Amino acid sequence: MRFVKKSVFITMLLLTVGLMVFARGSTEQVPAEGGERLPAISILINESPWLDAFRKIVDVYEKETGNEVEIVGNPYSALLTRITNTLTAPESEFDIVILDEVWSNQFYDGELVACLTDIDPDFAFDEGVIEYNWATRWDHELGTNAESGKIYSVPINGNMQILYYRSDLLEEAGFEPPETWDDVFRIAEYFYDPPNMYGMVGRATGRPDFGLQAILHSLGGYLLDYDTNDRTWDVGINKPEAHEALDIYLRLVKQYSPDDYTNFGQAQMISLMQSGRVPMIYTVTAAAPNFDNPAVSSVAGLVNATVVPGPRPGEHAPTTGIQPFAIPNNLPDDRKQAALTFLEWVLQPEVQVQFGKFGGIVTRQDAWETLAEDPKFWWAGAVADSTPYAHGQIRVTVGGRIFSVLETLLRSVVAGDTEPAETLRRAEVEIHTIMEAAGYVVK
Amino acid sequence: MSQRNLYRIIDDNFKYIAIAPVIIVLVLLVLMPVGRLFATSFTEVKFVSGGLLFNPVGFINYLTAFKDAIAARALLNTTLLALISVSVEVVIAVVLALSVGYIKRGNTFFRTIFIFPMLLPPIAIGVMWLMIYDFNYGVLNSVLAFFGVRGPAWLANNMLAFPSIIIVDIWHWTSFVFLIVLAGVETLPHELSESGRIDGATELQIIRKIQLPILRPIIMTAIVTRTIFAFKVYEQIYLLTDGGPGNRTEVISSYIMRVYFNENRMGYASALSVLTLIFIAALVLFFYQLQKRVFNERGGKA
Amino acid sequence: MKKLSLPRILLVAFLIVGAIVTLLPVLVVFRTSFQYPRDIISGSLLFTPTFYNYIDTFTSYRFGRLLINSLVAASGTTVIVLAVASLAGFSLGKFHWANWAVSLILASLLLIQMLPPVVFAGPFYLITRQLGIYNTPLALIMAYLVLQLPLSVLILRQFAMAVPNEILEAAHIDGASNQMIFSSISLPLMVPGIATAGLLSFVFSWNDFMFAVTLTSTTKSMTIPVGIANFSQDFQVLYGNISVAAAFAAIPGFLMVIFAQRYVTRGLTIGAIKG
Repeated sequence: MRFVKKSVFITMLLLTVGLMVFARGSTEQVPAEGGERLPAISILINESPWLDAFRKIVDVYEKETGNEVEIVGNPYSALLTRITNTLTAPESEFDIVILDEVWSNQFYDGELVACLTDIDPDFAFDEGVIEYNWATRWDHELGTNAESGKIYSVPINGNMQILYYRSDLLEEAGFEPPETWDDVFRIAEYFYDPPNMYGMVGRATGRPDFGLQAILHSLGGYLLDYDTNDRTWDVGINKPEAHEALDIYLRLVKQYSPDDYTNFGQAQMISLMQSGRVPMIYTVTAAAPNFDNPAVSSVAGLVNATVVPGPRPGEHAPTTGIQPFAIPNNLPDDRKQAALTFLEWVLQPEVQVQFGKFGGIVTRQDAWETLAEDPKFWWAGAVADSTPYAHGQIRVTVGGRIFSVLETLLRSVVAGDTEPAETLRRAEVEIHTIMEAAGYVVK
Repeated sequence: MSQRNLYRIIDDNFKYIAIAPVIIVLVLLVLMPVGRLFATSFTEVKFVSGGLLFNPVGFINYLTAFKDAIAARALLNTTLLALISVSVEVVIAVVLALSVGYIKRGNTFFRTIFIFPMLLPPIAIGVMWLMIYDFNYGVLNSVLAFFGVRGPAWLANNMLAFPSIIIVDIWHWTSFVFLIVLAGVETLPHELSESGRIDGATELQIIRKIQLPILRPIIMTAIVTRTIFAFKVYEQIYLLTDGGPGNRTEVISSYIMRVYFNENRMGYASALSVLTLIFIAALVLFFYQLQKRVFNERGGKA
Repeated sequence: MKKLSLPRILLVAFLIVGAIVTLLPVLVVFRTSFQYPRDIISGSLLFTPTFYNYIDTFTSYRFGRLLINSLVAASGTTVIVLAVASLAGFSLGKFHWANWAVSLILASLLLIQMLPPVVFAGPFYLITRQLGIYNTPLALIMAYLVLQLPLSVLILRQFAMAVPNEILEAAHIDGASNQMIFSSISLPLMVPGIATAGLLSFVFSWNDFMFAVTLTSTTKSMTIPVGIANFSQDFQVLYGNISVAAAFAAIPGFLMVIFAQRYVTRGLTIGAIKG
């Protein structure tokens, strides 16, 4: 009996050792060998509705060039963790990482991602590429994104807000697609019939400022404004335009919404639209293909899009939320080169059209215009019309912190915990403090 | 013989040899991260020319933490969540574990079911309860609507969000306490209870006077571990309410993550981690003291 | 014990209610897994059952591979944790240690548990990259070892303490060495504790997301929770896919529970026979 026990113990130990050997051995990587082919690259990206389109375009690249590309999909919630880890390691495990307009600048500024003209001095964007208020460039001297800055990334997912509306319902009721905030409220009022139908929902959580910015900028207001002459920043969140914008925002979020409006983020807004219980929402372009999938959506074929409204027709300011691709700085040169080769390939006009047809959110104006000719891509026209009005988000290194502060404050005002005026006053103080602590000169 | 000697040496020093592996593992793998945590908490971390720059700032991060209203709220929420859900869980779990011990038929069935919730990944539990609670398409409100009642916004209502989260936590973690207490119940010496019965004690008296005192150390382990776990809840809440409405369900671990990565303030996040650590340690110590007071004994030590 | 008294009926009723409350939410997930995504968000109680989510989940992900990865990481962790923790538990529970030493060890174990996981995530990333075990199950086993050891040691110490001293002393008088007493007398008596600690190590390693997402990157060694989290996306939460994945993710743990249970209950009986 004792021998039995002992042998159980020994087996356990052996198993452990065996397992360690197995675990180690089974995952040995075979390095890709190839004659003139470029080194295999791996891309860190987040899972999203447009990832499928990206996979398809990468397949095309692999077939066309023979180069290998590995796509590492990742939950969005863990994306920043993984990017921070890989960019601060001795050598990055990924050759390309996806960034987000909001927190790209800290990586440009700290040179954690490579300057693309350092890899290839001839690299430049041609005219067709949309530059999104220079979101991919960083001027170290000015401390902001500017045309004079160096290029640190390539726009790949050109997410931008558009207004989605139910073409069938609006037509039936005799409404034109809304052009102004007043139109929005008129239509919302007409359709509001809870719990079967709501009028409008807004983004109240998970970056609520994204919803507010479109209103604020359309009214001519701003979060932060940079005066290039005396190189000072101005915080605009407590100005009259901001108060008016918050008013509109709160109405939009609360008045014609389901009772759980405090819990509404992008996913909830899109779901409600998909279930046919709201006649319009404004959110990112990436949501568009989702409305057409009959397995997911009850309103397939019934949705159309237009430019996000403004105070008056022709005064719009849809917010961009682009995701640029960058190349880690902690990589050997040949891998950087291979990564850049891929990025240049994706930006080509024909490739962009192809990418758009797969359901990608492209970043060339000419590609959007080509796509707009095909009614299958009903959102393309709205995006092409929006580009001239598009308004970038924050243009400093501390975007993440500022939006975190705004998120807290906006959520508390939506929940009714603070007064609107008080909210904006506190936002101004906090943003001011954050900016000064980061070394910016603030008025 | 040397082999004999070795055998003897192991025999003589078994006490140390047996504890050595755990000490080695922990020293190798814990000291570095913890040291780094403390060191980082006194710095401001910046991205500079392709690397991390640790800028010493003294106690500033700690001072900031004491003025941070969101951190305070998150810590308060987490503490409330821990205290309420852990006490409810312990009561339910102990009653369930003792009850299961009393029945013969179907006892494997009940045990398996009561352990089940723990087996599901937290993200899945988040989705599960979202499917129940959601105002627009949750099962709960659909059933209520069937009876002509218009259900509330369970996760978005200022009054209901926090209790709703607590219910999820209780549903999830009672299984853990149940499992631990059950293992204790199974090792209860039957002779003592039997002799109690022969002496004419009622079942309730046997439970109170004989079984619970024996189970106390293991229940204490469950309470302490659960309390510690409660300070790590994150995934479910992220999915269910994302801390809202306002900051009514904001918890400390998600706030630390937000500060660490989204706000890119590694130094401050480290200081918050240290303070949270001290806070939980104090709470656990308080539990042990309370236990000693209440039972007027030396704690759970041998 | 066969009388059908009122308390007994109440007891059974209580258990049945408990079981229903525990099971209902699981049924909701089960139901969701058979719904088209558009029906999931419709709010209606009626729907047309479909295998859409099942097909979609298994074609879009190499779920089989993730299952194997999870199994390797979780069972590897469990085996090592049990070996290390039962030794430590025995040493702490059955040998005389100075008070300060026990307090120090127990306190550090508790403190390790109290640290937010994010404290370990960054350093472990660097360590595993340095050791060349990044993106292998070994990296996960290493991390889970640190996370699961404290609780297992605490539990096994309790169970070691519960082993009657008389049996051990008798063995000692018979000339048994300490290692023999540990492996042939104490260990069998600690089986309920080992089963409990093992089950907990397995389940917690199985369900971990934070380290899985930090220390692995591709399907080569990615585990189930990361696969599930990938369905919780930027602009949409794929409830249907998550429900399917959750149902499959629970199976190994479920089998473990059934398997471990026999030992949770059997412990002392074996001991009694031996004693």
